[in-house]
Amino acid sequence: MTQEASGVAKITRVQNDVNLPSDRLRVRLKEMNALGLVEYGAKLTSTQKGRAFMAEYQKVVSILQQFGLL
Amino acid sequence: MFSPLLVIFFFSGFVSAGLSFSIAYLMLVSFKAVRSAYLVGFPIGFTLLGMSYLFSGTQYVLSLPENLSNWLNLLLGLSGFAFLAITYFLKKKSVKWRFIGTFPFLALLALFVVAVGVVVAYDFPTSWYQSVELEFHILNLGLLGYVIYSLSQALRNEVELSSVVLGFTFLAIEQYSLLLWSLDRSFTWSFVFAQFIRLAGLVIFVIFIMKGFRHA
Repeated sequence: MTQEASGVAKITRVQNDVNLPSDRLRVRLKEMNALGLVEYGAKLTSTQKGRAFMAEYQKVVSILQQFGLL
Repeated sequence: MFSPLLVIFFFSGFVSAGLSFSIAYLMLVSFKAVRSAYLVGFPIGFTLLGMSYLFSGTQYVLSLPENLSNWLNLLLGLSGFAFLAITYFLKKKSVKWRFIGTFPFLALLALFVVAVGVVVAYDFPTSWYQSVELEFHILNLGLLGYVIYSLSQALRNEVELSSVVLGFTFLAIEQYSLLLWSLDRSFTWSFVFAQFIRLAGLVIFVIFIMKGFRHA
């Protein structure tokens, strides 16, 4: 949560949270980097676009939960 | 010359169709974000319901063959509610039955296309339509009952009454009113009430989703 609030995260911590093997996680992170959602280098940093996407995604998830669909 | 009641039926059909298409669009946006196969049933279901309401509205102003538009109205309505019910069914089974993907939706769509083809190809007598209309409304009520039951199971930890449950309950009341009207055609107020309660249910859905997209 502290990492989420600062917008910077350690890759090993993210890997534990998402429960993906490191090779598959790196592929996903490169894709997200190309889309401008995160900055993937020595550290993992969320971008403005990434945070905006997450906010919108959470709205969608909340609506679907209220419809009993998730 | 249109009577005031026909004007009400015409407008309620068009407004209901507009609301249903809006719900379908908003649910399609949600489906695109989450990408779970079973969620595709919701936008399809509301699109079919919208088309059903559109047919019921247009039959008061356009000279469509009455028998055909009545059949299409019934088939589209039943298919729409069936898609919504299957979405909830697949949501429950999504962990165990992941392999079946969108097959139930494709099967239902194929069934619907065949049924419409049969209705268009054979000009069934009006008495046939009147004899099965009641059964269609009972089936719709059963499907909506399943949707409301699934919803209340999914939201059993919620303290307040969900607007979504209220919306589907209004649609169930609409079907019950139409069922009463199909039993007794002279009971026009039952048909009028069905139009208003349906509009109320759809407005609740639209307001709820729009609020969700703005504030959640």
